[in-house]
Amino acid sequence: MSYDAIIIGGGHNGLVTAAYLARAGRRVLVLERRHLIGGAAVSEEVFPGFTFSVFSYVVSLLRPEIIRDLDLPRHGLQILPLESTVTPLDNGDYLAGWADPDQTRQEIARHSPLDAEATIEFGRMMHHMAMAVRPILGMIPPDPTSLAPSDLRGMLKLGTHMRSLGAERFHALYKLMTMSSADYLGEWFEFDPLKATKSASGIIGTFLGPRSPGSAYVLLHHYMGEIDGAFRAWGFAKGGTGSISNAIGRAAESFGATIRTNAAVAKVLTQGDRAVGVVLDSGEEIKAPLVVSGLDPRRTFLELVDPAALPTDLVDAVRRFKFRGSSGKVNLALSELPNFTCMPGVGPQHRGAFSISPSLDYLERAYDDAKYGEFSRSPYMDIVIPSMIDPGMAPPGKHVMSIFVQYAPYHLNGGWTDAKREAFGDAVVDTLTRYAPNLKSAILHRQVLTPVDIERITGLSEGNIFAGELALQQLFFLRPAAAWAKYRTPIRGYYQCGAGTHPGGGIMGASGRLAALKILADQ
Amino acid sequence: MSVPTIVIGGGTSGLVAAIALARAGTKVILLEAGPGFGGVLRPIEFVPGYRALPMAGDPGWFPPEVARGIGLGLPEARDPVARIIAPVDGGEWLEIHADAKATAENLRRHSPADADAWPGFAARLHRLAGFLRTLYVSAPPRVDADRLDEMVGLLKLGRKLRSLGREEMVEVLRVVPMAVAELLDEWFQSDLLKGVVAADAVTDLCQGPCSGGTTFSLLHRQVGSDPGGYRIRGGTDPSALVTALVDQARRVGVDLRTDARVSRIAVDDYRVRSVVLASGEEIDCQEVVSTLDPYRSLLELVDPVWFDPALIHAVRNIRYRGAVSKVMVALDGLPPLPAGFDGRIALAPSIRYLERAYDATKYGRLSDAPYVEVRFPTIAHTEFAPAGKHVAVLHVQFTPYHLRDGDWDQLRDTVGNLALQVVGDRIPGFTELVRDRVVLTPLDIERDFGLREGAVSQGEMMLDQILFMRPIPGWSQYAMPVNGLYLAGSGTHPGGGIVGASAWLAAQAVLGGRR
Repeated sequence: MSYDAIIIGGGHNGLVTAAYLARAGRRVLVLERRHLIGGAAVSEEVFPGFTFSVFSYVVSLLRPEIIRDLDLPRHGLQILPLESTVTPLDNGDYLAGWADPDQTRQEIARHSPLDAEATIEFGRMMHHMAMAVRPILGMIPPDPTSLAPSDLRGMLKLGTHMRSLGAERFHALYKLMTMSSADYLGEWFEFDPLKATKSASGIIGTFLGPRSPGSAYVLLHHYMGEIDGAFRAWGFAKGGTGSISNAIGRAAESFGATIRTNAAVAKVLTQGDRAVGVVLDSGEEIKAPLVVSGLDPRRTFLELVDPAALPTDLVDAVRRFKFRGSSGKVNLALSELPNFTCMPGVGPQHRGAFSISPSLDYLERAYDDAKYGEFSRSPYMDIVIPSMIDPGMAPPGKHVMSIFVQYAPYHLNGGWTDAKREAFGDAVVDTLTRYAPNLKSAILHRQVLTPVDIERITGLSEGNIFAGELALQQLFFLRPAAAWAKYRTPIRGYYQCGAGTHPGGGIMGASGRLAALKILADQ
Repeated sequence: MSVPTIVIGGGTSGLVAAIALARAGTKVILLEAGPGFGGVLRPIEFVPGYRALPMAGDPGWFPPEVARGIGLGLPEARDPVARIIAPVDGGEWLEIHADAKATAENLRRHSPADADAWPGFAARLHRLAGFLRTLYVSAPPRVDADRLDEMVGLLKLGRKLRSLGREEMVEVLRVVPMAVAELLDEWFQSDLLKGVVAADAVTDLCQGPCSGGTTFSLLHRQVGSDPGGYRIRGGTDPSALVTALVDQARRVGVDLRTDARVSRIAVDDYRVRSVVLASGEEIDCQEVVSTLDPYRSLLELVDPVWFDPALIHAVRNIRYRGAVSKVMVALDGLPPLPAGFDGRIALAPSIRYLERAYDATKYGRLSDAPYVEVRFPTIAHTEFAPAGKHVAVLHVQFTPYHLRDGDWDQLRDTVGNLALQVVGDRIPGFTELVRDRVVLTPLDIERDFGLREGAVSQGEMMLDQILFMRPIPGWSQYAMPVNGLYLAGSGTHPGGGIVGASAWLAAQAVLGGRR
């Protein structure tokens, strides 16, 4: 069997690229190192009877055009909404956001009538901002330094789009690109826990605190999925995030793509300045005129190919590209639901998220720990209980809890050890037990994943969940490097399609789709 | 007799605006609240016989375009011996000179790899800062331009960016939003060198070196550097600059008035009518050009009824966040210093030290171990102290204006002691020389110099508060929504550290507004 294209890495972006190429009639082979596809979007039965979305755990950014083009619902994709976010407060009270905007406003009014009012206008502004960025997400980034007609056209299109926003929205967008989320939110709100909970979206996956300039962009990135105006339009995939990958994989197969697991690629084979195939760890060689890497930029440029064969400015740029993994994950198998002191008993809150973000200071202190090389003693946590939405994920009466934790720096003082991993897990459980006292005794099993574990298992360098930080200097035409942001590489026939390219980050699929479009346009 | 134009504030901005307008044939009255001119560059006799210019750590770069525009000779070439030094263990000094070769020569003793990297770094900074330089001698580009002539600015900006060449164009766009800590990690190894350069970047900011956008601040301070050189802040003599400006203002017929505090700008039907002084005197005028900060100018001097609530909201949201205290010290002599030294001592042993010093401000606290910068104004100006005696000015950062607990009137001595302790620990022989000291907290700086929150920048120089965002988005062209009212101080583009540029550009806007 011969192939037109080999996709390295069966993460969701690689699978999207594979599906689009196969849909266009190409014979495609996807090679996945692990025994299952999905990359960081996998569901695994970590403990008997308990299935976890081991890494990435919620979804809202998946591009609607991909769902449509690949007919993902037909291939098993089912998104179940997350209904609320509850933030336990230090005074024993809580701050909740519900699916119904009116209910949310009433809840916020309980804490601050001014903020309740501001919520309406803020929601409208963020909606406009998300709409303003939307066309950019679907755009192959033009190179502003180039005078090629296609780049000039792209820049003109971008300029026209920016002008069409009008001055007020352009200014708001500029602020989001440059400010800290705490300052940005401070212009709208006064109630500190509300600012903290909203600003948490600005630090996820990023080595920044809520008061660090640049964090407001990450906030916007996470708002892109919230364009229907709900407080938090995030959802679960039935069966865990792995079922998203599986749906995309099935779509690709339905178009004729082949997926091989347990097939780790060691090197891309080149002949002159052309890619001609890959060689696996096993030594097996597979030929194809087109090779697409879904891995992050470091692996794509420094490991899969010989950097000596690449232009030095590209190699320098990739070496400088910031990964700095900052988050960990704790997955718990529970004998019973956690009982939160601020909202006792079992209720609708368990069908949503719990955010451990009682104040901006709390988040900032968590960041300070990481800045100096320690994991946060009292970390920020985003907690969901998928078994409440999809009972199939745990045995009857039992539950699975997914805890996204920040900060856990990849570069820990003295390095990560088994003891440090357990200490980190203890910090998470102890902190959470302060808010839900029955938690500790309800734990049947616990899986703790540090950035080093995330790197080892998923291959994401330094455990960065976005395949490279979403910092301003690493976005758009600079993602991953100037002149090489259009999915091509200096090696003919070798392309990139991972989240390390524009627009990157989250279960979005946009990088994979744009890469496929570019490849098809080039042929 | 024609109706005059009133300029408020007798600092360098006010003087430049007044001169520019008077030279264009306008009758100008310059109103200064205090007894003398110079604004933040005003000398203080803090102890009988001892004087200092506490706020003159960086009088700023004086663009030749502005000097020419107001008919002043170019400012004197910077003192070639000015340099930044930092103590290294064992009585040695790390030195940064304007001249890259001299710097590299010194660095070779401490870190050979860094010595090799320095000339390339300085040259790169100079070229990237050169891009900002072009932006700083014209009004900010208008992003809301809808007429062709308004778009010229944007097009010029694009052309200038392209003229940098591909590599440096990318580099400008890449580094500007970066944390200076990241930039320095790309270039250097020595913690001390990185600390000293990072301190230059965060001076007068309420940001640490790990905050995004602090590389912009480094470039901002390098605007005006010589090709291949590093601009040493504080290289220009502030007293000479103020004297030259006052003389020129007199020569071109500006009516200079001191002790004339403005209490109100009277507006009639969306047009300025007059200025009312604290004394009760009312002066009719055709325009008012205020060099005070935007908050004071717009929300305290003008009845807010004339402004859109959105504008008021935006002005209230300008971040000032002063975080600097100054300690003026009377000394019995100078501690041991490198031969021929003039300039500053930077006590920033590492990026981490600076970042920790900044962390305290996030929680409304004073740094336990602040960044301190030391100048000895008496090296160049022996007349600032009795014969044989000296003066040191300590710049102490971070001491936030907004304290969570306690107040500045109680913490004044704490800051003074802390700063002297930091200096005493690092500069042997200093403590024994201290005779007396006077501390200026951010609150004192606000009271004494009229700087809101004690911030010399009149609005923190961070990416979201520069160019078309300065002083507030949508109103960056100096003219305010009340006819005849203009802003001209550091709170407007290009902001603090660029002498007279805001004022010069505001004066052009006043003259253009009459057409």
